[in-house]
Amino acid sequence: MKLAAAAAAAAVLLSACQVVSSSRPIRILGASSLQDVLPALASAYEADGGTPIQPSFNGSSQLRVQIEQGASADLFLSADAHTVDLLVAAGLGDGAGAPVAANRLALVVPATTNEAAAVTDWTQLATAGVRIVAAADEVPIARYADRLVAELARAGGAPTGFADAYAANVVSHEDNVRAVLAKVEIGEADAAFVYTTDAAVSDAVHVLDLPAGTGVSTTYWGLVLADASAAEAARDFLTWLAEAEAQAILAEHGFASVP
Amino acid sequence: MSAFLLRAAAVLLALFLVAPVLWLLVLAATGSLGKALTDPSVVDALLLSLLTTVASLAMIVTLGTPLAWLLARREGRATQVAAVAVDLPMVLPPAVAGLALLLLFGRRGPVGSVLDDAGLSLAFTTAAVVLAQTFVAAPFYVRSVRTGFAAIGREVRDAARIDGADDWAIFLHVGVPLAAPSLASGAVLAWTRALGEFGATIFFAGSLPGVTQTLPLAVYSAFQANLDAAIAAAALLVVAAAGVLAGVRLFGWPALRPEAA
Repeated sequence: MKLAAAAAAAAVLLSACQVVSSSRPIRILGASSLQDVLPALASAYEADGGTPIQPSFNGSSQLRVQIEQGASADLFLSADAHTVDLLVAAGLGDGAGAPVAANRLALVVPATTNEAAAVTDWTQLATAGVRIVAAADEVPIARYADRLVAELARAGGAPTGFADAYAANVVSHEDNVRAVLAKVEIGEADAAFVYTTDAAVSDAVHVLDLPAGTGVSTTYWGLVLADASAAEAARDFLTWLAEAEAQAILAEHGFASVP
Repeated sequence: MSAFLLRAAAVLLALFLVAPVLWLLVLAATGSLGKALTDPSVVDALLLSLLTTVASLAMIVTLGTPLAWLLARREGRATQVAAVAVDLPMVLPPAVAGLALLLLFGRRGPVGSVLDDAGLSLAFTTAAVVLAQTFVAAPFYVRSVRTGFAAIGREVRDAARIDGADDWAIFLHVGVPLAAPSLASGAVLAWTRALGEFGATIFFAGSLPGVTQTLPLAVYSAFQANLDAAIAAAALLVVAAAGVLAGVRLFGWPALRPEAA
């Protein structure tokens, strides 16, 4: 109860701090993996006469907690449905969420030019001593990766005890997928699961093939927030995301359309 | 009127500084503190924090006391430059410290790659946590101890030398006992800084429960999963910090009194 009061007090303070303006931008809290595509979407939307967009990025779970603690924003773009469901259940959504785009998981390793790469094949994720960086349990990529690991454990050629051996090799739990990617880029981690779109924006990682018939597809969800001050504009942007122009930009960045 | 404004300004800032911490303690006390304190992630983090800060402090005192001695006794431009350079991590943003450590000691860094070839890998290990803590906390110790050593008059050292003491004996039997209060206060400051270390650790050591996830990292991580655990871990850190301040007041270590700072 005290927490609710604290959250309410924080919300009041935050909204009191907001500058009242007629051409208020759409404040979007976006999943880390949208860091490159959202600015491109925003400029196209603005060029179409849409409201300017003011994005900020973090892991979906971090953003969810920020919203619960009273962070003021108009639209939440989450990397999964679960995080959106939690907010809707808490009464923090304006209506229900809507799927906006799809993505897939990729296994990445540092793009070393020498022969010393520790992982050259997905089965080596189970080799003792391999350093895998994952995300914290609450971050969407961590749940997707768990699902993929379970699939790989059942795939042909999987070493026995693959999932446990993989878990034992995890050396760090990062906040968001881009932090995971960065640890692979600088060579501190030997391997990690990220989104294919993350792998595509990095010159410093290689994507390894996964066995045929495995692979996890992911869905981004948008949710207009209950305390949105630009709810109308946020809804308009969500609708625009489903249109051909937005879908083309998403496809250009490696995202798929919602199945 | 001006007296009123003066007082209002003072009260406003004092309230601002006290209220958040107090509210945190109230939430901890009225929430499920007991349950959260037995949460394995909090217990692991507490034990890891104690282990790593004791290791860091041992390293800081062992290596920092001789460094402070050298910096205090020598004069000249080079020593002054060295003294400033040694102080620098104290004012560096912790994220900068973490990035710098990672680039030097990380697998592809000049030191890290040599260690890696020798089969010693630092990143994501408890040793990395100790290094990060030592890096950010040591300057507090060295600075305090240097001030203590510098306050010892040359004539005291000369007298010891005439009595036949060599450099090592002067350091150990004259310098260290006379500067003991500075050593103690420096150690306390360094320990609290190491205990609170966050930025350099998360960059350089990563975050894994039981291995690199110290209390401050546990606060950050639990914030996403279990707010009660985050509050409990945070309350532990507040109690530790407040305990240190109270201890310093009680023992009255001179180097920590405002006029000596």
